[in-house]
Amino acid sequence: MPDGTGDHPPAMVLSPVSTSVEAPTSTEALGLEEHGLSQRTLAWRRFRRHKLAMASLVLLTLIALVTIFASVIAPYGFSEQHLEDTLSGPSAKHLLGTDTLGRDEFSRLLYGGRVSLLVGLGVALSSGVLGTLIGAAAGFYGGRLDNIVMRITDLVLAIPLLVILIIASRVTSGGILDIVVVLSLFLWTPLARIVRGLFLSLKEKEFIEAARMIGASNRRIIFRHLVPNTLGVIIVNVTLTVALAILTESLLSFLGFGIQPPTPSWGNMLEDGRGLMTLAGWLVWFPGAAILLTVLCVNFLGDGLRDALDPTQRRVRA
Amino acid sequence: MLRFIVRRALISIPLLLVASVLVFTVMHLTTDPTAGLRVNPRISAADMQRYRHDLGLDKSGPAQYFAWLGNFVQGKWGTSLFTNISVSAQIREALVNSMVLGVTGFAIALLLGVTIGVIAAVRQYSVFDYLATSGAFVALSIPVFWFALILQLLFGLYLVRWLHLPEPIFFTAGMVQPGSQGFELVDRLRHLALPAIVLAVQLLAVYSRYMRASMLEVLNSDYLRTARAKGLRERRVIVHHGMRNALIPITTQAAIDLGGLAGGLIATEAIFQWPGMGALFVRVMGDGDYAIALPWVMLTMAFVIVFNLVADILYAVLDPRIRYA
Amino acid sequence: MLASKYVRHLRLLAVVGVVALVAAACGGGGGTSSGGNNNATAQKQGGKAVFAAEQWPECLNPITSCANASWLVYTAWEHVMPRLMQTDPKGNFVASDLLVEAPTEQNGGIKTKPFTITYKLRPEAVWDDGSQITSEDVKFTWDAIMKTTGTIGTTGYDQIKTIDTSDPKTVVITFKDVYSDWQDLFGGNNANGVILKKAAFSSPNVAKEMQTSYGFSGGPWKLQSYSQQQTVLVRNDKYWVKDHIPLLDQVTFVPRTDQSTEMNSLLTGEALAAYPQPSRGITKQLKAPGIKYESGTGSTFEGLWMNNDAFPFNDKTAREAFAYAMDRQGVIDAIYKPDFPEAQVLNCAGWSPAVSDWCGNDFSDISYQPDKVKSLLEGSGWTKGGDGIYAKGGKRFSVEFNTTAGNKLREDTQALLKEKAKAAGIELVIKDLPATQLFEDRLPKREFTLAEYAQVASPDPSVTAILGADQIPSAANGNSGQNFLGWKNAQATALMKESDKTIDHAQRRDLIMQINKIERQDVPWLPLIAKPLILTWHDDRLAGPVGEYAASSYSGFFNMYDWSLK
Repeated sequence: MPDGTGDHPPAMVLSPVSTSVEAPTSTEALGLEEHGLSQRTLAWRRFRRHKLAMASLVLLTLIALVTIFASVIAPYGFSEQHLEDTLSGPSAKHLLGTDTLGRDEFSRLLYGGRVSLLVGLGVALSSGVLGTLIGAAAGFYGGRLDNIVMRITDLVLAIPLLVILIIASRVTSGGILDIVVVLSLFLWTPLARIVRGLFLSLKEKEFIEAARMIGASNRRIIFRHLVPNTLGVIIVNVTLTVALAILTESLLSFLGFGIQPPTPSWGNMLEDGRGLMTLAGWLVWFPGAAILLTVLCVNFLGDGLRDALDPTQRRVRA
Repeated sequence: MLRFIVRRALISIPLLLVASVLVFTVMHLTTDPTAGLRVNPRISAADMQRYRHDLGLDKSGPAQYFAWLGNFVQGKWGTSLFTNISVSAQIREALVNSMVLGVTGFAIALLLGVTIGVIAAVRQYSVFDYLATSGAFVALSIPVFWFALILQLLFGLYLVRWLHLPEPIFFTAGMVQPGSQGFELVDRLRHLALPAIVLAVQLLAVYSRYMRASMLEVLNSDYLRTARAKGLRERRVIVHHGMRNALIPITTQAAIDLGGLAGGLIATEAIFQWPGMGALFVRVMGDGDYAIALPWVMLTMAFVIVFNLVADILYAVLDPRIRYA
Repeated sequence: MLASKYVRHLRLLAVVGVVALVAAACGGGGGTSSGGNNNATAQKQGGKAVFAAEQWPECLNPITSCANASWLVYTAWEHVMPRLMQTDPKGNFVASDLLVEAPTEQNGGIKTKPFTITYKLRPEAVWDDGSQITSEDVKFTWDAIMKTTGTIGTTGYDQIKTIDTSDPKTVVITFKDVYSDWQDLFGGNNANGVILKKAAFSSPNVAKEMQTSYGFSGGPWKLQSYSQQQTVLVRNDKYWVKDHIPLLDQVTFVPRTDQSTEMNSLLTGEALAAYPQPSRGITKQLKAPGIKYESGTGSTFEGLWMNNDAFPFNDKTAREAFAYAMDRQGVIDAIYKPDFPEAQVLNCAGWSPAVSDWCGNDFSDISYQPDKVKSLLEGSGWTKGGDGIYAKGGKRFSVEFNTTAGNKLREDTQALLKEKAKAAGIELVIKDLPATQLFEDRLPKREFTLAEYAQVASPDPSVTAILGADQIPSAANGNSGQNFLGWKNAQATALMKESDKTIDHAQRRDLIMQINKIERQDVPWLPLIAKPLILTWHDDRLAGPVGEYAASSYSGFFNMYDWSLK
């Protein structure tokens, strides 16, 4: 996503209307009917066809496992200094070289991965939950609540990313939780809009009317009927937010306000090494590649999920 | 339609005000325009107090904000807190620089993106398609400041060394050749090239993906099949019917991206030393110069709001299926 | 016959002459850093050069807050404005080009009772339009400093009682009382150490003037233009010291605020010289063909500042124990020495060894000694907890350690100190803040425990502003004052005040040494290092004594009037 320019999707009401001439509006063709297991199998089959997404899933699992078990795999601690061996290149003793304080780059990469992935997942999940709840409420209840919510989302969407980042830098302490909270507070809006749009249109559908007629409560309608039908979109969005969050964390580090050193994250490792790129390239190439590879896989995964979960929907890509 | 526009415009005003209050509050609580002076041992306590008074900084937060707001709505943007250089002049200069960079990158991205997307869709699953897709994904996944640094080193250091050039093909910092006074187009273009490429690559990735996806849908749609069945030529089919419809989501996204350009680019401007809106904001936020920061926020948000509105209107105009509540 | 003989002699003479000229050109060439003024025949006249600036001033005004930016000095006014006294590369005060000689007690320039300094301006000193630089200009500058809205540095100038301008080429400044830092007025290392041209202004309130241009020049250069993209300086042909008239036609400073961009700018040859912040690996990066650098110890010193009123530093023994848990030598060895082999631990608390002889060695007995930490702490009621950290009365020896965010050198210092401190039983919790937050919030409000930052040591050794007992910021005085430590030592403060009034160097040094000793006893803070400074340039393109001012507080660019293109 362009730094500082809109990483926000179009500000418009979305309609799940297909563009084909047959214009199927039946929920079957939308692929969203709740048929339980068989639907999931269908989705899985579609997903499997997307080879890059499959490969990414495998790779991401590998990355996640390796970082989770960092304390087992890493040969050194992440703040373990070897002052006699600073700025040395990849060697038998230090697989990926050492940094200015002789800390092992390979170990830092593993531990840093933990931090970056935590931030990515944390932001994605919390903004996902927040966005879904807010969007659902606005879409379902409509009226004044909808109006207020839309104005708030307008405000948040209109604030330039740079302003958000700098505000974030001022109020966070550089800890993982702080950064996750602040980033989530600004990244829930795209999903809220999408969910709201879907709820707005779905709640007029016949099956909802039917449910209402037989006396289903609002809660039941929301959770048993509406949410499952928007789950696909939500999952795709949350997945893609992981990528965005990891990149944003590295941007925060670039500005000097990312995860507080000496705790490593891929973002602050990349930024720290940047000034030494011509001298100690290993300090830049490895964290950079780690970010690139992970975000790439997440993006492919999201693409595959999109293909699997809403194949006939005409949506604007967010 | 007109009522819709007017309503959106009216709602935008309180939005801008709320944003300005938010930014001012953060600045007031976390930055201090006099911070740098505090550790200069030659500046006495009396100096500090007098200085703060002269700048109006000893007034309360709300008092300062409303004093600023009062002047602002009268069109008097005043001068920076520290210098007597006019705020509007500084913002204007930065805005022009950002727009030059932004529009260039945007234009390149749009042209190339549409082209690549169309070709990739028409030749789906070909080598070109896979390359285009992978390239787009990589462009979306690489940290921008790293990419900018790589370009800077490549063009500034390595290509010069390897090809024994007297000077870099594209320059790696600044807008003009240092020391030059006038306007020299080629020189400016050579300075503009790298930052524009960095921006273009990011936007290109998005546009080519949109274009490809939309084209694929259209190419596989029924009404196009009907058109083909009627015997229309492939090229005409694609160009006339396919692209027109496929352009809808791109147009709206492009409008939104244009609106975002006013805010400048954080990393690109920092690395290539491009004196644009991003660099300006980072500087004034760091200084605590709210006299510049607040108009900056209002202006960039106004741009975003206006272009979002344009996007919505375009979408409604281009796709008759969409109607607004 | 005779004619041809003469012609032959003439031809011989001509050949000899040519050979002699060639020999002179080849032999006398080189023009490397052989100190002193340039050998004009060996250096080329003319040409343009571009230099990279790491920070950029917001405006050009040397009286209001823009003046607080050192880079305003480095890129603009130090080349354009005249001054009275200035500092040589070693930090000693010397007369500037404007003065006939430095005022001393011997030549009657300094008189006590009342304290009066008499400056004799050179008769040939003129502004760039040919008009004389006179005592009226000095008096006007004093007015401007005192009366401008938003002026930032009246310290010292408010000690002036009168300035006598009866003789246009003699400035007689009478002070209210003995003021030993007189050399920093209208010159020295002051942010506003300039002399303005009275005729260029309509009133002494110059707040709105000099934003993006100067209308005059009294230095070797004239400022042609200034913008956010570059500052262009051109030669001032009217400069009265012929030796200091620049060889180059034009110098352009360009902002290169991102560190790696600055390096690239130099390495690609866009900039011919740069004055970067020291950083790890910088000298290795500069080992490129054609690039040379010169480094030295500067007058800015970095320290570990303890809040004397915050636990655990409110106890002197704890402070001393803490000092022994800080591996200062380790920091120097790992972080500074690889690039700056001459780097040393700083052992005097408030001065730099590069500036005169005020720096004693009192803190040299403090090194990393975990045993000493143990004996000091356990001797005063601390016990080591299960986690290896000492505790007393239920409170652990855990200290929040602040510094400015985004500074790699400081980050590494913190990380190294933290590991070593842990081994000695003390915990450091690192928390970096944006610079403005540190200097606005934490320090003046004294909401910190341990902070690392740099303090500038001027050639004048006064430390009253940062260590005097009456300079502690508090709510009562509006959080002004720079004794963030809160160090209240009456004896030391009295010595400081006395030394501020002492002119005699030897006497003053004696007082300063006593202050040094008291600081060692109390350990209110811990000096770390006098920061190295580095000037780097394209030795294959620039000639002249380029590295001479590398460690000067005026930046390495000060003597660019002596530089030329090869």
